[in-house]
Amino acid sequence: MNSLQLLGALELGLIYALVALGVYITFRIVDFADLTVDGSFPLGAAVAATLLVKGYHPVLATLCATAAGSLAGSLTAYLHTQWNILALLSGILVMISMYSINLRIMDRPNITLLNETTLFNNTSVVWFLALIVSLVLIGLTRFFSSEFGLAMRGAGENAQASAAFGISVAKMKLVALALSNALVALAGSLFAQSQSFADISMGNGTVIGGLAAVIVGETLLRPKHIAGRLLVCIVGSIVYRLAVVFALNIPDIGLRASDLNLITASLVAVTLLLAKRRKKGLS
Amino acid sequence: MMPMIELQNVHVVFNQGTHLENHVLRGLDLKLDEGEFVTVIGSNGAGKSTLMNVLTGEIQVSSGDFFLDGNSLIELAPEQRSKKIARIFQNPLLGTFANLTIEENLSLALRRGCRRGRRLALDKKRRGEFKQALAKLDIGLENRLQDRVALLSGGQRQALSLIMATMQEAKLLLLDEPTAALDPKMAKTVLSLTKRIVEEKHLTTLMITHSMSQALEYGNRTLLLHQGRIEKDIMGTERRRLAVEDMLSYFV
Repeated sequence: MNSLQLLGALELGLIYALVALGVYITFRIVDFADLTVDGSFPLGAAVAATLLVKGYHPVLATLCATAAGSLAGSLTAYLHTQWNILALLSGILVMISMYSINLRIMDRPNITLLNETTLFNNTSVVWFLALIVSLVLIGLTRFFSSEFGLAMRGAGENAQASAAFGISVAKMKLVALALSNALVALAGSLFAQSQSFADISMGNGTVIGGLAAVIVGETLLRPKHIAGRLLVCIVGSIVYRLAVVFALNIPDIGLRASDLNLITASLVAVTLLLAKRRKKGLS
Repeated sequence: MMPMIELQNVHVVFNQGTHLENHVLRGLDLKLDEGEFVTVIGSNGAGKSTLMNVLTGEIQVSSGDFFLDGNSLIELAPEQRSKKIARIFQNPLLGTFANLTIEENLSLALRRGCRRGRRLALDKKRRGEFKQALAKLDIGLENRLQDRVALLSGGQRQALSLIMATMQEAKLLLLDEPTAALDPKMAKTVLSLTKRIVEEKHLTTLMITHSMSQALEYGNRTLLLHQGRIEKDIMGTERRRLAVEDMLSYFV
């Protein structure tokens, strides 16, 4: 493994840390298995890339991408809470429709950004990403320490008690999904800008990658405070990306980059199985 | 005087029009005055829990109306009624947030029915208030603010539920067999605490119980529910003279 690969892994780790935080908010905080993520990641990339090619300012392009993600998340929440469609199915419906929408936005399956001005033109990519991720971490910690944020955590924890204390679980799910998918679309737009391309298929496996990062983090550390738990998602994402690069570099075991999805899925499945075993052992 | 709480001719039918049709509440009428502490007893299937869930809004009535201070609440969802109605669940697990800390639970309870904004959920001042409220329980919870509620025993959780339900003003306090999951000693502690808080805050209270002695010992009025209607409404001298054995005869 050379330093260039290491730097690349760190970059990806930081970008996918935003996905991990988004997945943590839906899967862990409001207990909603949201698959929209596989559509909102390329959505963020598509919106940012299209606007950049048209000559808009990178900050504006990134903000628009983030807003588009929150719309996608709200749509999933709307299908689930207003029409009583299963959470998983709502996410899949929006994810599938994102494929068409993203093609409409980009007008072709991929866009190159090699000649465009991006957020990263005059800065070190890793440091700038680290700054963005830190700001997001601080913002989220403050959010979940507020009365509203705490109510969101309560809504995921116990729906009946939430209603008894006046918390609308449907509203909390809507805000959580909008927030989560905004983060994922932000990650998508940063990915496009740092790797200089957007591609229609770049979202495949995003949710599992994010979940893997969350699980890796939780296996390493289980802090009590919400700030610690959010930080663990970021650490998990970086460790996961480093482990992937490391595994691909071991000679003679014949792993290919295309095996990544299989390995990730196995990792998530085994960890979930072990967690279940451990629970059974306790009771 | 207009009663504070009024249920008018409430019918609840489950699975209407199918062969599983179950007519649980059959034209129930109920009036509660401000400050009354009413206990409700009845055999299984009499409609006690259904009555409770009609009041909280978790069960939709088939017909009838529910007024609080003259305003109908019948169309409101549980979270919209929560500003006026506080409740304690039978199962201590249901009324608290297990994986949040004691102070986080109390902070959520403090804002029952209020707008929740950007303000920090916990600060020094609130922690001080929480400590004070918990100290009243005298079971040492005031020193465990940062413990997760999952670490508490059933009795401790129910005592915490009681503090949580009564932190914020309410027009009506509902208790659904609050001691069913507790041992006798803890049950007594929780009930005397309930009595103290209800008297202190002059709360209008409705408590469902399975225990006839509890029904007579606590509160100032007892309702006997039978087949979805109020069969007996006992208060005043009659209630004071009544023994548990007399109550038993009603069930035959």
